[in-house]
Amino acid sequence: MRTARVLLAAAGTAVAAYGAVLLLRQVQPTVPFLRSLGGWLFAGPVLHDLLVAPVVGAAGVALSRLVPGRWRGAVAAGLATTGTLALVAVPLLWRPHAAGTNPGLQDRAYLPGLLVFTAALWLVLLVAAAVRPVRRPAQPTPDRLS
Amino acid sequence: MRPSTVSGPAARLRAWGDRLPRPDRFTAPGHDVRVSSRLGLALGVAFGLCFLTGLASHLIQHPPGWFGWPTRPVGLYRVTQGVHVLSGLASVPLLLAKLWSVYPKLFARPAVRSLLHALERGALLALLGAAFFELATGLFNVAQAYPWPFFFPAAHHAAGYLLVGSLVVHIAAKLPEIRAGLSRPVGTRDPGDPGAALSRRGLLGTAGFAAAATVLAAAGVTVPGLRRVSVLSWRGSAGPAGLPVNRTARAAGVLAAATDPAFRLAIVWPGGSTSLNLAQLRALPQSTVELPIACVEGWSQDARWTGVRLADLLAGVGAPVAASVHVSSLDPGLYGRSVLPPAHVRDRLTLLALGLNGAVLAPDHGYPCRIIAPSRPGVLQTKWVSTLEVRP
Repeated sequence: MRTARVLLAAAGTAVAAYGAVLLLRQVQPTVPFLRSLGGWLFAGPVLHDLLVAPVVGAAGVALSRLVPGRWRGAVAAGLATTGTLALVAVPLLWRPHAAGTNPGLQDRAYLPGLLVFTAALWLVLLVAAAVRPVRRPAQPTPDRLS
Repeated sequence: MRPSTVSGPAARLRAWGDRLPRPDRFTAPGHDVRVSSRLGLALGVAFGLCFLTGLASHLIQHPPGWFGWPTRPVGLYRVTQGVHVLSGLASVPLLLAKLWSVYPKLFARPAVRSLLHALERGALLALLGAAFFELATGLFNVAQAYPWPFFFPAAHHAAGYLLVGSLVVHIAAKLPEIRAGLSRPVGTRDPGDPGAALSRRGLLGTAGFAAAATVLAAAGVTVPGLRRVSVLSWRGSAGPAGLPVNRTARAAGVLAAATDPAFRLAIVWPGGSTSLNLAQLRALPQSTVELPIACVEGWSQDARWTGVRLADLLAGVGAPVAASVHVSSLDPGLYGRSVLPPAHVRDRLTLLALGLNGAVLAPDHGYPCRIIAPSRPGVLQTKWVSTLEVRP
C-alpha cells in the first residue's frame, strides 16, 4: 500500500502542478486581477470554516434542543436542502456583471419558483416523518423490568 | 516560550487559540470516518465525472491530432455536458456535508506535525480552494454572469486539473482511513447521542436528499420532461421557433450583413472555389433531421432542422468530402469560427441548415444559414455561415 500511496501522491502532485501552471499563465500582474483571482480561490474555504460550518453547528444544537426527535431528521434535511438551493440560486437571483439577456435565458421568476419547490420538499419530508413508524430500541427495557 | 502573562500579538493569538474547541468537543455522530469516507467517495465520483466530461468538452473544442469525437449517438455531447453540470450541482451539498463531517479535524493541535503533514494540509487547501472555485465559477457561468477579470473557460479548465491533482494527493494521504471507514458498516441503528440532530445515517441521507433535490431543481435545462419542474433551469424554451438563443444577431453585430439580399456563401477547396446565393441554396435538395442543440453551459433542446446536406453540397460543387471543413461566420468574434472534423463532414445528418422547426431560420438562429451536426457543442454549431473552406 505504501508504494501505491507514494505513486498516487506523485501523480496527483504532477496533475495539480500542471493545473497551477495553466492558471499562473493567465495571471495578469495587476492588483485588481490578483485580488479577484485570490478571492475566488480562497474565499470559499475561509467563508466555510469561519461562517458556514459554525452556522451548521449552531443549527444542529438548536435542532436537538427545540425539535422533538420524531421530526428532527426531517427538519435537518429540510434546512440543509433549503440552504443548498439558496446557495445554488445566488447567481441566478443576483447576476452581477451579466452578459446581455438573450431569448430563453433567465426567462422565469426564480424566487417564487424556488419558494414553491422548497415548500414541496418540506411537505414530502414532513409527511414522510409523520407516517414513519418510530423505532425505539431502548423502549422494551422498562417492560421487561416490570 | 513566553509566559502567558506577557501581553503582545503573539500571546493574544495563543490565548485566542486556546479558547477554540478541541476536536473531541464535537460530539455529533456525523463526525465519523464511516460517514466522511462515504461522502468523500460520492464526492470523488461527482468530481471525477465533472473532470472527465469537462476534459471531453475541452478536447472537442481544442482537438489535438490524436483526438476524435464520435458522431453517434447524436445526443452524446448533450449527455456528457448535462452530466457535467448536474454532477457539479450535486457536489455542492456533498461537499458541504463532507466538510461538516470532518470539521473537528480543523481544530486538531498541533496544526502542523511534520513536513509531510504540512504538505498534506497544503494539498487540502489547494483541493478546497479549487473545489469552491470550480463550483462557484461554474454556477455564475451558467447564469451568464461574470464578476471576475479572468477568462472563464481557461480558468475553469486550469482549476479542474488543480482540483483533481490535489484530490489524488488527498486520497493518497488518507488511504488507510478511507479503507477503514468504507469497510465498516454505517450501522443500522445509532444509539450514540440520543439528543443529536442527525445520526450517521441521517447525515448521509440528508446529503443524498439535498443532492437529489438540487439536481431535480436544475435538470430541466437538459431533460425535456422536467422543464417545468426544474425551477432553477437557467434556460427555458423561449426564443424564435421555440428554441433558446445564446447569442443574438444584434449582439454579434451581424444583423445587417445576415439580412443583406446580396448575401453569398463562399465554398473554397484546394484547387477551386465557388459561391452560392440563398435562392441557389434553397433550390438544392433539402433534408430534414432531428438533432439536439447542446450548449457548453449544459442546456440542450431537441429541434427539427431543414437544409442542405453538407456532404452533398460539397460533392455538388466538386469539393472533396473526406477532409476537414473550416467554417467562418459573418460574426468576426471569438465564436465565429469552427472546424468540422472529417467524420462530421461525411455524416448524413450534418446540414447547412436554412430552416428550424418548420420555419425559415430566424436571424438569431443563424439566418441565412448555419451548421448543425450531431454530437457537437453548440458553440461549434456556427451561425451566419459565410465561408466553408475544405482543407486536407
